[in-house]
Amino acid sequence: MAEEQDRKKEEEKHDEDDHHKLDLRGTFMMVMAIGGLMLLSWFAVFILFMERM
Amino acid sequence: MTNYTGSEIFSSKTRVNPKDGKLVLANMFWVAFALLIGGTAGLLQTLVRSGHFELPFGIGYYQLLTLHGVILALVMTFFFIMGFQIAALSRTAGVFNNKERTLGWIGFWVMTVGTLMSAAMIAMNEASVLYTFYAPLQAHVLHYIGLTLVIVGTWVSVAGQLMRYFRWRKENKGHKTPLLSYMTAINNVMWIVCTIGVATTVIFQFIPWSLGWVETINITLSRTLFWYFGHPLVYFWLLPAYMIWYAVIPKVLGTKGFSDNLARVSFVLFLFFSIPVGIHHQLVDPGIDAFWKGLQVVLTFMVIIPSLMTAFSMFAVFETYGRKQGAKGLLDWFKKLPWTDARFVLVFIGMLFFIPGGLGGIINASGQMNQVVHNTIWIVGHFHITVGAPVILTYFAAMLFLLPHITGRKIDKIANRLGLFLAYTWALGMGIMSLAMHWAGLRGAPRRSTYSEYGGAEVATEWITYQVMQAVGGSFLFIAIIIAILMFLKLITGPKADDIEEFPVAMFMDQDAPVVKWVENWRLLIIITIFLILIAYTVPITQMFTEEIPGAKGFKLW
Amino acid sequence: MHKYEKIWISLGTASLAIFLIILGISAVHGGHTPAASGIETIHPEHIREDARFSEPGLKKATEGDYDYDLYFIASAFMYEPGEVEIPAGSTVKIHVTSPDVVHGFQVVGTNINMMAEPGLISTYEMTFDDPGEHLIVCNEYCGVGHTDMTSTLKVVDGGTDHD
Repeated sequence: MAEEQDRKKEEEKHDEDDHHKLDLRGTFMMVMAIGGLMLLSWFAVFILFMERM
Repeated sequence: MTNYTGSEIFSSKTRVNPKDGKLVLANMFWVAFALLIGGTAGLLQTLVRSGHFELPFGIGYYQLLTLHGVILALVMTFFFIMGFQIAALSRTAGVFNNKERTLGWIGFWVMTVGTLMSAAMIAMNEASVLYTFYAPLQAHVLHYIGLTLVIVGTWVSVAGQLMRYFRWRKENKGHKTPLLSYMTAINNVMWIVCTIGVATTVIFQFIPWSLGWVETINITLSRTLFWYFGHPLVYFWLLPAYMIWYAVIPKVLGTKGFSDNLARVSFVLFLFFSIPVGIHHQLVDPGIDAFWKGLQVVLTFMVIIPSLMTAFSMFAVFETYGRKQGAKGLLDWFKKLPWTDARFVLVFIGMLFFIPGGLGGIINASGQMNQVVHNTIWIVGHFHITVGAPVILTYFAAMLFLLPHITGRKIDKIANRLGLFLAYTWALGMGIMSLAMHWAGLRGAPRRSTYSEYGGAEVATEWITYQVMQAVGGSFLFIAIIIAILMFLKLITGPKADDIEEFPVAMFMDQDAPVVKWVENWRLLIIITIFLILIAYTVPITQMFTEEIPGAKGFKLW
Repeated sequence: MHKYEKIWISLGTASLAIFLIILGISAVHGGHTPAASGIETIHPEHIREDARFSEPGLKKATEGDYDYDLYFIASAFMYEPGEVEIPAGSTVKIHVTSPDVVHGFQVVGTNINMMAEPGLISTYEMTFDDPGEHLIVCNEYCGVGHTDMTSTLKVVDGGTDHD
């Protein structure tokens, strides 16, 4: 029974945990920063590669 | 009740069964011991390369390097992974039955015997071939047999773990399996599929050749079979860390994981794409056509995507938690994170290291660009900020709660503080060492080389400056290892607690959403895995037989 | 999926695709396929009986669209030749093989970095424009004398008929 109650509680919470309603501006900024670093580091080594050609 | 199906999976009261706990603990003792030995070897290596230290007692640099690689990359990680996965299954699926647990113990002892055999050969200087044991350098046959036993031992232990997982599935048809149990199954299936490569080369090539039954060895084939195993090996190390990131850390924060389904899908992608990519370690090898190198580069890039997904969901968990604690601005949720909880700090610092670690990996795998960094010390820097930071720091965090959980204790203030010191000392040491390695590597400094002035070449003088920096970093890392050992001792001694440390298992925001069905369709998963392997490897391996590459005789050059 | 997550995964994957496209174009149109690709065999015990490797070093090319062939033997623990001079501006095809174990042929400061394995010949084509001296090291562990394996590649001014 405890299990079922837990489940119900979960379902109620489910709404508030809906991904679309989360405020993830900070997360977005962090992953964009990682993306920027990815482009930067990759092109830096690519340029080094072309220079040594 | 032997299967956990409901709220007990997430309850802080649910414990790893004490009988299973003993098995976990046995594995963890090896982790601590291997860490100490391997760490000492690492320290000595950085000192030698600084040019200010010479090894005593006739120990060879490459003998030490072999020890370092074998004991850390293989022995320590394997024992941790077996121990942690058994704990995760016992904690989330339920207690092992006798048969499953016995397999765990047999595996443990087989791995132990294998480790001791190889260690003896390395100690006697009969096996200074480094952990990759590239032919035609030829070690003593007992070294190869020892390594085989280590792998076979993991198979036996993994068999017990998989039986536990599939028993849960059979007894709870139609239910979604506990996430951690599912993740161990993915890692184990990947392990079985990839270790077939290394087992094949060792049993059918190295052992007969080192016994003198055959004179020569096909080295192109042996290298390819090694790397067919060698790349999934790094994911075998990484996935237990990801298990903790996805399924344990949210609970440490007291919040929910981001998405159960996303976690499962990312693990499936790791199963698919971590194996058919081994040739990216052989991008500048002869004997493989450019097309097949290119194809495996493309497949390698596919395996980056699940890590992009992981990065997003980690930050999302942290931000959601911080906002629930009242953070309002763009990034002030960082301040709300539990910066005094060593379990979190160890993992978080590990994650930070994984950012440059992952980015460096993309560069390494970029086809012809690999020539800039191949076999330079940049590569050593790379794997020290992947396996040597995110993975190992997460392992430390796991041991921080696992050891007291199993021995009936609680993380006390001192242990927690040791954990924090460990995290910061490690970050400092690894930061210095890996940065120096990356820079020196771009300037051409080779890896796997003892101290040398290269006949007074100007560029070599520059490398030595970086090598001194590596020794400084290495010294901090050694101090960190001592702290880790003290932490382990603190965790398993002292008074027992009534309120035993929990093995945190998080719920997910989409806990009740229907599970993506195909992620547990094992037949489908295995078919796709094998299909991708066949695409990537059939032609290059066939060519290694049909192109009549002359075999190579063995050499012992140390 | 969260909106931001979709954007991140799309942009991330697009960046990876761009990297692959650049690498592909550089490989196919720039001729920059990974070093040592392809399968060219040689018997490791009879390297010196092979005309190409009997006297390793720089030789005027007799075929192809490059100027010189440069043959290297990487063995435990030395390189032959121990020093080589290349006229600046010339295009050279380097061929390396090993009579014993695996070595790593790396010309420091250039993109020449490839494995040398017994039974196979590793090749790489490269144009040397800038005069200067490059250290050649072995970057794959080959035994106790591994770091003694060195050679020098000197790019020297003048004397080239090719520009």
